Amino acid sequence: MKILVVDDQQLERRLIEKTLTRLGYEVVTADGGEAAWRLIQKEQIRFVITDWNMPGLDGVQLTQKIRSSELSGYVYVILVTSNDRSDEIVEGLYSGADDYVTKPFNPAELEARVAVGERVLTLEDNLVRAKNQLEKLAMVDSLTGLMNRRAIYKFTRGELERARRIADPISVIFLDIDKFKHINDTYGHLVGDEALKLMAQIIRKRSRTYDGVGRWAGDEFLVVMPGANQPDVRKAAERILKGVADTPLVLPNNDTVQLRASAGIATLQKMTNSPTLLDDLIQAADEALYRSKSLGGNQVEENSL
Amino acid sequence: MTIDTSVLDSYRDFMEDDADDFIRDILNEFYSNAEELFETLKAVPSPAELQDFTRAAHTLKSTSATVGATELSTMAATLEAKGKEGAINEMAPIITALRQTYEEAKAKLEEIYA
Repeated sequence: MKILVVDDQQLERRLIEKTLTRLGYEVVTADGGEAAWRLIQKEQIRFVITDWNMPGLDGVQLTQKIRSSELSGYVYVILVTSNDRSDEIVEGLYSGADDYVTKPFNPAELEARVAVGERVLTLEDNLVRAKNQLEKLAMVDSLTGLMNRRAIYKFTRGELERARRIADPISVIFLDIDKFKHINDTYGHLVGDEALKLMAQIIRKRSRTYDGVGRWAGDEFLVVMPGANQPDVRKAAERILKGVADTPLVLPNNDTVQLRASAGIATLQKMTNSPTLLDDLIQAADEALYRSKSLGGNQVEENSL
Repeated sequence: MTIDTSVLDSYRDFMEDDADDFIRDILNEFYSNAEELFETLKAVPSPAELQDFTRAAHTLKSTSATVGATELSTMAATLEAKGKEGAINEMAPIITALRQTYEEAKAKLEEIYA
């Protein structure tokens, strides 16, 4: 692990540097706050041991700069203070330092404090890794609570295979909110988000429990209806659209926004072995949706494969 | 003149075989650094020089503590305090004693860590 040692005094800098090198750490040095800051940005330093009292940018100011900037990861900071500044250690810690060591320091103590810092950085590494994994595994759209795109796509693929296996029909409905951009521009994004949440609720309420309902993108939703054929899927789509028209969005000031939606449906009439069948089905629904919008919205159009 | 050997001795255990070289290195660094500081600390400062003077006293306080020269460190601390208060007119006697104390400390250090 690379540690940056900052001190304007060569003697003290070398003392810490030699101790750390002996412990097996890679050390870079800076003779002042500004030089340290440049290095931190350039070399992605994660560990800093800095003297407090330095001309120019001092240790506390450097720490504050580190804490208030968007760096690529957490930077662990140990502040080196003179013995007679012990009453100002609270100030140092509040400025953002993780720990302090008073000089003249005992090398064994420095070793122990650096080890503590390593532990903290390892914790942060684990946290970042877990967060990344979580994002990869996420199946739920956080705003609406519906399946996210990845999940609904996977669901559709599964249902398509089952339809093939048991020779059942399958249909999909693509929906979106009419003039959604206008709603966002007029009432703001928070209201836009509420519209999306309301739309999700309306769709969910008018779907069967074994239908897949997902947020495809932006204000587009996909409903997958296994075993459904015409005219059932058309009825379902019209029911949803009526639900949207009957359920105005109520704003915090009790004004209402009337929502409208459009739908494009696609039914799989003939099961084939085409490898692109899934995408073709979704595409067909998308095209039907496009048609219904260009016809003025608030209506259902259909395609069949 | 007493030297607190515990500071440098703590490095002795740590550095093992290199201990003697390491300590010698540090001491030489200290001596040359102190000479530089005395360029500033040799005379009573003018108001314009006060800030640099105070900083130099602060540095000497730190470095001498690092090598265990506690009497020197305390004296430098006093000088630093006076500098922060702006009590320039009280500095003269301490400045004179400072150099003397340094020479004694150096002699003792060389004796201990020869």
